[in-house]
Amino acid sequence: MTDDRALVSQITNGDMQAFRLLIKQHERLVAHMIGRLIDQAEDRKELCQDVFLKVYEKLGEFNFQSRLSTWIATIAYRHAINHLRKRKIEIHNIDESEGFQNQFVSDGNPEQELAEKDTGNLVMKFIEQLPAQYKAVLTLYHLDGLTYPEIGEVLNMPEGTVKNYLFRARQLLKEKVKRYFGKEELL
Amino acid sequence: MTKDLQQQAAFDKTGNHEDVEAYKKVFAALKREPSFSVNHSFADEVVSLAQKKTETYRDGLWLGLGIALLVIGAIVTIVLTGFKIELGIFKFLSSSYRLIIFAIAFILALHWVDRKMLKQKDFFPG
Repeated sequence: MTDDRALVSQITNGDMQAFRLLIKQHERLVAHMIGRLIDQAEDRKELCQDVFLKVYEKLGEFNFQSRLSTWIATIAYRHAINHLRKRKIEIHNIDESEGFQNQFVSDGNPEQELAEKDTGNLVMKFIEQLPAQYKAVLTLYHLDGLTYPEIGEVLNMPEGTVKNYLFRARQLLKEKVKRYFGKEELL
Repeated sequence: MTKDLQQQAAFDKTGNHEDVEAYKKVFAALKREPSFSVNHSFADEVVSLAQKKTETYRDGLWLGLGIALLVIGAIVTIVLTGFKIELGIFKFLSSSYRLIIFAIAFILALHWVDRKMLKQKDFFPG
């Protein structure tokens, strides 16, 4: 937090080297969020730039109630969601019904897609098919190492919901993996 | 097996050996970086964009200040010299102020449309 304070103070005083350092420190976090939520490759880089320009513009309003990375992740998440809405791209909301879960697991053709040699790549494809909130929770937890309360702050949801989403998202992925790979291959 | 994986498998009521193996694949994939990443010069590009934005803002500020000073100067001049709109072209202008307002509004609207179209062209090149 002290480092955050020093860095923010330098940037608000016009030190562009400090801003460059801030970008370097957080570019992976922003790229993870944008890369996971936005499918259009041509939009991703511009969106990442927009996130950091927003950070630069609003940095004076940052009140140190959270870590700087949590605040930047919040901006990246909102930016991605706004972009999807603006482009009228459907945001699949979390549907707790069994119908949605069954559909997610049964979608796709295992025989066709098992031509994909790398099982990791195939599971990555499954992750891309999840609703935006699930993808965001999984990314922030597994790739960026944010805690449950921090993820709750980014996505504006209670800690309990974060845990629930994390559990359900992994469970859905597990069911899909089981369907694709079959008992023999897994045991 | 990681703590997270153990917990997940334990909470999953259907958890058996097959589930644990499937979870191992899922957790391995979740740790993998997505294919998208920013290029090496990304930070420099953003810094340059931020600087340009600041400059544009500063330019706008100076332009606004200049216009304000011009208006104040004109008012002061009119007051000090007791200027009256009675001569030649000024007489014509004062009698057709609606036309002047329309002309100014038209030019501003034209600029606005031009800017909008330019922006869209930038966004969708070619």
